[in-house]
Amino acid sequence: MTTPPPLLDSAVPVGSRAGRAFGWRRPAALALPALAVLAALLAPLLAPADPAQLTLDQLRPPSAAHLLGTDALGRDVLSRLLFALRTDLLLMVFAAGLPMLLGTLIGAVAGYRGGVLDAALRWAADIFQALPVYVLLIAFVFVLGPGTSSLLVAFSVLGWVVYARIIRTEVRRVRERDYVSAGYLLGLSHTAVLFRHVLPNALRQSLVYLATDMGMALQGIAVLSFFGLGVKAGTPELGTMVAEAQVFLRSHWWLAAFPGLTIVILGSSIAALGDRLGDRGESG
Amino acid sequence: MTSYPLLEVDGLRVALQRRGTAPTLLDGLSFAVAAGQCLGIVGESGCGKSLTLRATMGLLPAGVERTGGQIRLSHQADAAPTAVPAGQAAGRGLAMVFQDSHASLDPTTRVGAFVTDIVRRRTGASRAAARRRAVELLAAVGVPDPALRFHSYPHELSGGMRQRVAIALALATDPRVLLCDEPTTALDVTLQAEILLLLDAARAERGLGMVFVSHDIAVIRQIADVVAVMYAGQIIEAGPVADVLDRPRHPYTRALIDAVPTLEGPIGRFRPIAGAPARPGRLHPLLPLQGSLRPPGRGLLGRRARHRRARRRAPIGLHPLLLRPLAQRPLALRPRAGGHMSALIRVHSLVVDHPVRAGFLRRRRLRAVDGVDLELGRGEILGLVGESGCGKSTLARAIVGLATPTAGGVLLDGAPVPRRRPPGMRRRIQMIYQDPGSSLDPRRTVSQTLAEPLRRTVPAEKIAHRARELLEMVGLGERQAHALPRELSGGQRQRVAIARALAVEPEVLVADEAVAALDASVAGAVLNLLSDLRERLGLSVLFISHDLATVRGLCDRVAVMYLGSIVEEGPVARVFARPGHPYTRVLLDAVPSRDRRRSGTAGPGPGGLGGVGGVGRLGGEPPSPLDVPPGCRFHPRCPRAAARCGTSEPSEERRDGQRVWCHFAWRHEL
Repeated sequence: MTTPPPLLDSAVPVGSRAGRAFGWRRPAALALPALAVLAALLAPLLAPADPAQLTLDQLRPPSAAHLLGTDALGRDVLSRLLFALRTDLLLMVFAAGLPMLLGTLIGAVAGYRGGVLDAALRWAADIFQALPVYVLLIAFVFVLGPGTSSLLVAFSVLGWVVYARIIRTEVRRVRERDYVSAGYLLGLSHTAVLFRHVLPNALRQSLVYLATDMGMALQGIAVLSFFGLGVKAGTPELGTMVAEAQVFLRSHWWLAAFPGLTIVILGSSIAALGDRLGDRGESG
Repeated sequence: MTSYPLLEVDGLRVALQRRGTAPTLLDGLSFAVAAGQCLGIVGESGCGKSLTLRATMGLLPAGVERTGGQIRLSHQADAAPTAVPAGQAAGRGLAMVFQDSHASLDPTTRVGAFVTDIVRRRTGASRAAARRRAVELLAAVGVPDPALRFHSYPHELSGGMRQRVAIALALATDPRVLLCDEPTTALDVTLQAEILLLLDAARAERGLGMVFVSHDIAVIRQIADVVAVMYAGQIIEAGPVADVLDRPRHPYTRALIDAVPTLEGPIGRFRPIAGAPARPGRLHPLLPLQGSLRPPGRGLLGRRARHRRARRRAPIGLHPLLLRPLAQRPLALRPRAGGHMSALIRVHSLVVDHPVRAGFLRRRRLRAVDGVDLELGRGEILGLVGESGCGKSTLARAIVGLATPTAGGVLLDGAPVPRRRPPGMRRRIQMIYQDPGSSLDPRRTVSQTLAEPLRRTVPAEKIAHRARELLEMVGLGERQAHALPRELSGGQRQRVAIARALAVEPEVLVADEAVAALDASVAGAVLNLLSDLRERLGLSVLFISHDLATVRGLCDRVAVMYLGSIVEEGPVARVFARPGHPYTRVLLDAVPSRDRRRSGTAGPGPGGLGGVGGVGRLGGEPPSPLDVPPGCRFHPRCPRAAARCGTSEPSEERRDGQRVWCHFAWRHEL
């Protein structure tokens, strides 16, 4: 074929199949988490009622007065949902962020120094990764006692390994680049070289994982709270809401359905955002 | 003989397919190759040489399409060539040899199995017959012990051996035309000579047509009969090699030839081409060529990138730039050949070992540098040459303090340097690296990169001014100050790397293959810069290179390294004119000449490459540093070796400032 391509016909989609697929995935993956964050931030303004206010309007189905109905104590489900988003998103950021901070520090130092330190990290990481995470998570919170701080400790102790692994590999790759040894020759200390030149160029992969991990953390928090191991009783939280709705599952579907759906959709769209970041990283 | 050409390319046009626009990458190329003929294509990086081969082969990358012209291929002897449709691989009749032999072989398949598979697909031969054929092919391309190598994986072979296998693979398809894309660029000169001989022999024996793409005019001179010079996606001059390279008519061809350093003729400055090459499709490539060869200041950064940055940042007023010496240090006089001068760096019996894993739980020490003594004078440029793997880079890293000596040591200004050098001492010796893509932090702009080392010595308000001075010193301007490394060309990045090194006012620059990744023209400009900096700042330079012609043009003295040891050292003019060591002789003979075919050449035409390699061709490849031969370490490959070379280590012989470690120093010329 020697016909020249249609130059002016911009309606003809040009580009890879993947590129076209992202056309819809990007807004969806971005918009849902953004919407959730916005709703959580504006919860005091958006919520039609006080989430802790008990009323005699108990177990009402969704209506104009209570858009998502009311629970067994007569509290407005929509208001509780909005405030639960605050709790869960905040917890999510720390439950994924703290392990990342810890893992990044350990992985960066081990990867940069190499030798015994690096061997020790690999050994520790092998052990941690062989353990069943959820079982340990639950065991940890049992031992430390329920509550947000023990939740975060448990997530950090178990979650740092993957970050340390990713960062270590990236640091070892970047360490071989010439600008790293150039920085050392210019008089920077190894610490300065590590934090100014190596780490910034090694973070990308673990940021991608962070997004995926946040989705997992969100669901993990909900699961632990469902078992009563999460936040303090009475605090609006998605997992707790589902747990409280258990007894009414057959008769009052809205109690479990809305927080449940929120967990699933929000968790997977945040994880999808991570995937999307990863794909973009690969294509350059 | 057939009267038809084997391959005809007629008005080939290739364009990048992007939303709405279609920038032309190849603009109406036409050429033809007859049986037994070799067409060489030369040009700088980005001119479309490799793309031409890919388009011919039908292997264009995604998003790039053939938009016009015809490719005709003759499939049988005495048959008119038939057209190959666009968007289809040419298949039978064409085969290609690539630059990177790592990428062209399957890492998980034994090389013999790979060749056998290709033979079977092509001929439908039985498994046993195909195996026999594969072993024959491996033997034909000079793989020693082909029956044994048959079972090797690509990573177990050296670079030269892999390239031989890649050629065997190409020949296994029984092609009519062989397309070679810089097949020797990644190899040492000694291996390059061998591979060129091999390709030329294959062409002569099989009556192959050949298209040989290279940026190296000297290589083209050795192997091609006809040459085409490319610039910005067009052929601007073509004809028989002797005509085009001896009497170029196009000014660009002239400039391209002049930019290549040679081993012959007077030593002078390198002669780079001014400006940067026009990009295909961006400008009409021939227009700027009529005037000053190239558009001034164009193509350095994409137009769009500059506009984007201009929007992002407010313009900064240009300060009047005055060039002044970096430090109040007395300028050293240029050393005379053989003259005595105070040594700034003295390396004494330096040994550097690398631990390597040798099987399960077994560790051995690889002796990369084995007892080297070397001096670098103030204001001197010392060249260090040798094949890859000889320990040049390890020696350099030990000198700057990135590798720890196992024994011996380095004296800086007469004082021994400690194992861990304090920052102040590190700054006195700076390094320029080979890979321009890795020597700058990709996340920092040029001015940020330069500001960092300045922060310790220069008051905050003067940093920006000093950074501009440094940029000016290496020939860059305000425009590049806010660019990220990926927005700069390779030559510009090397200049920034030099500016960064100069920021700490060093006394010594160690340049490890600093121009090896650059085009001859761009390299010439960087080398002139190094030479100027030495004159102006009294810098000493240790220049590590495998390119002997460059070393001859730049350095005062040269040291030749083989398998961890220095075998010869002395003033450049003497060593190159009258090498004392057979290895130096062999290295010099292996360098292809820019201006003539090697002596012994039968002239253009099939099989006319007898002279590459010259007097002493090297047998085999350098032995591993894990297994150093006894006696003189060069003796297994030495054309002059005698019995005692295998038993006793040669001692130093001196003559006119030249030092040679050989039993037959200066007596190897037969």
